[in-house]
Amino acid sequence: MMKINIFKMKKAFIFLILICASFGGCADIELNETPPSLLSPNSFFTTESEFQAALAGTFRALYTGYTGFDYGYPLIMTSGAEDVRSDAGIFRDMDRLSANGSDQSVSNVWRQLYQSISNANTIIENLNNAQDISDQALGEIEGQAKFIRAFSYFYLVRWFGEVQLTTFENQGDVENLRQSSVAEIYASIIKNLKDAETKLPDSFSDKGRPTKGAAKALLAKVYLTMAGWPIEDASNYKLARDKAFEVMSLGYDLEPSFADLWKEENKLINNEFIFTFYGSIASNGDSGSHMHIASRHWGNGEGGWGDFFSEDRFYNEFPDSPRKDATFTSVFSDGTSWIDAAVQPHMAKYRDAGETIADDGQGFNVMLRYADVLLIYAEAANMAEGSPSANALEAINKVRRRAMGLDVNTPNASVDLTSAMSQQDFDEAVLDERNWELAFELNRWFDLVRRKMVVEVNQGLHPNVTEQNRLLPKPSSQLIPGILEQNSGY
Amino acid sequence: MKQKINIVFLLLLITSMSFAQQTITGVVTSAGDSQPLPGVTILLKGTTTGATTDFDGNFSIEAPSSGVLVFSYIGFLTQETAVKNQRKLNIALQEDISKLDEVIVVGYGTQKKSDITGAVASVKVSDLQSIPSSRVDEVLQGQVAGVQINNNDASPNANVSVRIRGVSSINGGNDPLVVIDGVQGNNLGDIHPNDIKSMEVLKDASATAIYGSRGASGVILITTKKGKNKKPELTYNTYTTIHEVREKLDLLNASQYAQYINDNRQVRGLPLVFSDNQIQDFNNGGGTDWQDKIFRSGFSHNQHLNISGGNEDVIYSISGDFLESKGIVTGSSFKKFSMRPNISVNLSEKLKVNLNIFNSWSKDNPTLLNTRDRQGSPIFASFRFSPTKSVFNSDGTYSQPGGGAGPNTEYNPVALALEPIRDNYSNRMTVNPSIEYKITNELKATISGSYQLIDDENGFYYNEKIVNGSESDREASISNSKFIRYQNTNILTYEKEFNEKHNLTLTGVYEQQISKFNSSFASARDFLTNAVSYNNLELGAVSSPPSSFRSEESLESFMGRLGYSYDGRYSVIFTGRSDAASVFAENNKHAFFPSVGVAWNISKEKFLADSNTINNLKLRASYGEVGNAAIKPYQSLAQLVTGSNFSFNGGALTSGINLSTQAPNPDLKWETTEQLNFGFDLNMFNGGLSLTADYYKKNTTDLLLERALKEASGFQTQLVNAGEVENKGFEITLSSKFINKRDFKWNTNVTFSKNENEVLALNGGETSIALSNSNSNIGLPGFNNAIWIDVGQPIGLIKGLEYAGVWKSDESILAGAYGVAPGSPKYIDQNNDGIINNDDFVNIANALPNYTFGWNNTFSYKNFDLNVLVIGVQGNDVYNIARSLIESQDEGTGVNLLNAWTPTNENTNVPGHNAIGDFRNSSRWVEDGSYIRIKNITLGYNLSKTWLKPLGISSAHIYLTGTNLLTFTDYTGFDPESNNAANVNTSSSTDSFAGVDLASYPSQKKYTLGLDIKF
Repeated sequence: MMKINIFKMKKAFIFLILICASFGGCADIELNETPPSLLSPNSFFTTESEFQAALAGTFRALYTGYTGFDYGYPLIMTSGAEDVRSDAGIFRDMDRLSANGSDQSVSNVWRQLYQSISNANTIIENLNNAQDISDQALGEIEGQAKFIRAFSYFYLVRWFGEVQLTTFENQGDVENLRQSSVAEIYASIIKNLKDAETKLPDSFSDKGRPTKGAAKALLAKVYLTMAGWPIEDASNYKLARDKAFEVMSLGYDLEPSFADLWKEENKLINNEFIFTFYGSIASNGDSGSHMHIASRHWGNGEGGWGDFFSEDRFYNEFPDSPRKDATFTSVFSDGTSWIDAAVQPHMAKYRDAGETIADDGQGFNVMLRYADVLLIYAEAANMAEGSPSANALEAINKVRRRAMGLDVNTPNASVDLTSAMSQQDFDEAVLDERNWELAFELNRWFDLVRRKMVVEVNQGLHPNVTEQNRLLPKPSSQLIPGILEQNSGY
Repeated sequence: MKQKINIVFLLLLITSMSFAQQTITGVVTSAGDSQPLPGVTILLKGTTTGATTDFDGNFSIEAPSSGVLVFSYIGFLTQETAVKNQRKLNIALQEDISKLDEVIVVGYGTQKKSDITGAVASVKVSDLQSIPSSRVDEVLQGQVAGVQINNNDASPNANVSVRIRGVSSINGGNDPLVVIDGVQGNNLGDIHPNDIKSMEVLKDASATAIYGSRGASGVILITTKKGKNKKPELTYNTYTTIHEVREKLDLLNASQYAQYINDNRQVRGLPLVFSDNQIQDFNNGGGTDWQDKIFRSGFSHNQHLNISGGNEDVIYSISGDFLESKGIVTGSSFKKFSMRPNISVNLSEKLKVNLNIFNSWSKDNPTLLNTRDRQGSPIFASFRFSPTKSVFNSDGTYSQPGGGAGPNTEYNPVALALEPIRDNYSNRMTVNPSIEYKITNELKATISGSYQLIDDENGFYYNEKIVNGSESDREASISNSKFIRYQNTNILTYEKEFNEKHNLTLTGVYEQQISKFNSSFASARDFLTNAVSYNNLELGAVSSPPSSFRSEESLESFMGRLGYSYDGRYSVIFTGRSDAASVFAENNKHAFFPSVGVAWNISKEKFLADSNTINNLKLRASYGEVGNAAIKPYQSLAQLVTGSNFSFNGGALTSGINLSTQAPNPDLKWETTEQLNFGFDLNMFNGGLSLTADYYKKNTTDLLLERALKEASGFQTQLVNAGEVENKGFEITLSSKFINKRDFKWNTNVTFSKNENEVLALNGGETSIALSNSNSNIGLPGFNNAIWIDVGQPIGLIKGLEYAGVWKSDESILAGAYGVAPGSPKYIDQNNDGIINNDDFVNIANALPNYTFGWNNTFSYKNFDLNVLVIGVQGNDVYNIARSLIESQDEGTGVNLLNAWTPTNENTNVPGHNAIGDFRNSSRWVEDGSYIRIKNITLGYNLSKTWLKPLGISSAHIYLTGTNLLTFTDYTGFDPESNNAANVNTSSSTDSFAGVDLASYPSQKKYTLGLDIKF
């Protein structure tokens, strides 16, 4: 009996050992996660190529996936002005100045602007961890990050008014970050741009990067805007004039032919573009532009989407000139005029996108150009000095001459404005010139807002317009009671 | 003389006594189907003399005429027969309906049915096998109370979702754990009903807690056929099915469409698009019905062959299966070949070695669903592309969008169905060796290892014909992914009976699992030729950078179970499991899940033991915790996103990275479900009536939620554990052998499940969360913020504006106050503030149903049988946003548009041609998805044995089935079951976005002819 028991026990014992051995042998389970394919922000941001990659990601947020400047949402957000109109279901309400907090464009652009800002915040904060990067290269990275942060906040404050001003420290706690006043936001923008203008070089080999001139030009525009609503501090006119003057001595020039500005073959070589977003068809159009197909008419051989176009009243009031011919598509590919096609005149500035793959193109969205700077100078100088000076007149006249296809530097009595104009008349002339020169370039809406002309210009066509339309509704999904409040009227 | 008579008497006595011990022979059969029963034990009562029946049920035993023979066989009622004068006995054993001694497979072991304390539903596998299908998930519909099966799309390689006792998780997945022969993580769609020997659905904590962090959504245990100690048996099942579209959408024909477009342009002051001549042509039969063009009759067939048998030492079962299916959308098809060899060897009396293998190879040519634009879904295009266009232009190219009618971004449906090449190959393999060792009579050890592989390769080729383009429009891509899973399970079971009354079972398990996943993707475009499609990516002039990804996860678990039963009347079971998972965040790596269950077999008590009416009455109660760990690896970590490339010069891209829009969370952990269950099982009239009912209450806390973060942070979402969801309800299964005569039988089976789902709490006192922004855009612009999780409401909540029809002309002033004119949609201004915005959102739809039922009837008359299955779902809403496109003013195709508002046609709910604000989240798109469906009708015939015997066939059954023949529903889309928002391709997401129908694969009516033969 005992024998059997021992035998049984021995077998059991051996087997238990085998089991434990197999437990032990296989017990190399790793519970801590170390992702083989993923990068962690905790160990990034040290070498120059890492910062460059982060910078690319920061710019990408503004130009991707039909949500940023690659497509029409930002343009639609300026359709409250006369130059842009859309009848598409998701855009119509904005165009009729009756947008609401769930507006498609508003939600998308808000998100993309803040995505860019948060990435810029991260880069700027991590510059301290840089290893083996020269001071100059580091400065260039800082300058670009600060520029794009100021750029994003400039659009946010102009469209939405009081928004949250985030930094690397507080962006993790936005639920408790009260919206800042417009003045505070502008102060931050100015600080960023002043930093950027010292650190950025005069030029980069990549034309899409912001340069010293871009920072100065944007700063001039910021000052000019601060002279208007809502800050309304007239001392900024002088600052705007002086900053614009700094840009005017940097070597930019007006392109002799207005039409050439919008040709894709010139996008990298012209001397007038100061800061531009460039679309690319590399990698299957991953970072392609999308304005070319959206702004073309859907019929009459144009083959576009017709998502947005211009208003007939804008076209009718636009002075005839080579500039007008290059601004509008008034006759479609099959020879039909817009009137006969019973649609609106369409935009011509985005037509040329070079080579395209499907809907992605090599188009370009110019954000700042020299003509804009000249007109900023003219307006600011006039308002600061009480009457148009010779420099101010020359600045606007260059633009006017080029618009008519005349030589930019040769005075021409038929188009030039004279010093006989009063301050007020000259001011109106500059605003009109801005309207015509910078049509469809996200300009007119902001001019109307800062000059308190939104109601006056729109009340005939859209009787529902009020002063509260100067600001767009903030996206309802982002509101936080007591922290981020909706603009009045929405 | 007296002595002589005594001797004679003695001799007679001796002779009679010696003659009394005679050889009794006979046959034992099963009373139900008259089949011989091998292995029946025959005992001469009061002795140790015994015998067993052979393969053909024959037996032979020595017994005196005064003896009593006792016949016993598992699953059958023991029968005693007195020998008396008989030399040949034909015994028919009755099936033991209550099957109390039957052993049921439960998690990590088996339990006697009488001891089970949990809600375990044993599926009647024969019912499943009578429905022609090669996938067990498709045939489960309506069969088990508490299990809801939804055909999310009805394509040949369909996505079927299985839900047990409601939906508890929003992001963690609600798929039950599928365990096949002990191997976890399989796909129900890979299992052929004819390969199944037994199937159990574990529903409550007592049954599922031993699966720990994987058991919260229930567990389905499947044991495949292993073979028997019999001579080889060959079974052949085959069926052929013809599919037809069940219901087309109601769309305008060409002339109606042309007239409508003209009316629309006229009202809007635009030039008319179609001339009177063109409309006349359309009236005379021009134009195209796109649905007709892309739908065709589908066809599928399945061949399934099984050889099984064995001897005392080895048993085997080898199955081969072939499925081929041509879908009802042209260009869609599916082919699959699979094999399942199972072999089991008794190396000795104590040592048994098993090897279970499954292999499948499939090729899928799917139809794309829920995608728009040039590489979009042909079904989507079929209700957007203008019916005035013909399929081909006069030059033979495909007609293109545009021309004033129809959206510019939707392309020719026929082209989209036929031209793109999508070849999806999938190889799957499971290899599962295991050892069972009986250390002692009471102690048993099982060590099992398994290797699972899913190896997919998807080839895609897009030519230029769809857009009438050029070489630069051609695109190709190859995507490879491999998923490997190792599982090692080690079980020690100790079972002992003490003093004949006390039964103790102890189980201890150690298990480890490692999963590895890797994928790669390469694509190129601008191919100089279409000839090789995607097979030579080098021919693409422009290539995109390839991408790849790798991830791993692991799980280590310890489990124990203690079961005690007294006298077969009272039983109690305790389980406990500890899980450590790599996907849990650093602060919460370990989880523990306990459970307790009790049962009382009332029918074994003295007062019921002899009852002839009540065969079985059992009360059960259980409580426990189970978890759901279905978070993907690395979700708790801070990450950077690569591939955010940007060009600073219009040419080359600079490689970019940016912060992930998902914020990290070092506290991320599993979801915990506490479940309470009360139930009873009742069997009466020996199978005449049986009833199982359960009431349950499940509370799931620490729900994994993707919380929308405010975008000013740069983040958009964060995965957090937030909130509590409750599911409570009851399930009833009633079955009855209503009529059980020799020639005519009628069995009926009813399942009824009612589940109430409610969100009880969200994190931090919040009462309402919009699911994250990127996901709340359910595929169409303008439909942001549709999906919500609200306290006090069920999951699957959709919010929007309340639609109140159309502003009429006499309301123009009020309409003007809202900035619109008569003819525009009227929404209720809930807060009366004069603005229609998100503040006016109310609850407009609830996607989860109130109750579901199934009613299965089987009639048999002589050799004929008829099976009718009716299923029903009640109370679910479907958000039919496809209609927002079909009824869009300027380019819609729905017949409702004929009733669009005009100043002369005011009595309508369809907005007019100049409407503002119609493309919004509102109750206009909400429809009732309730339905009652006659799911299957099968008429079958058992061929008579006299014809079959000479062919060597032992039985043959031929049948005709109609599926989905009749559906009663108010839903206007393709099918009330369809459930698929855009950007949703995993079944875990379909619950949060439940009830959204964008463009699904239409369901079909099927007609099947099938044959089952046993050799």
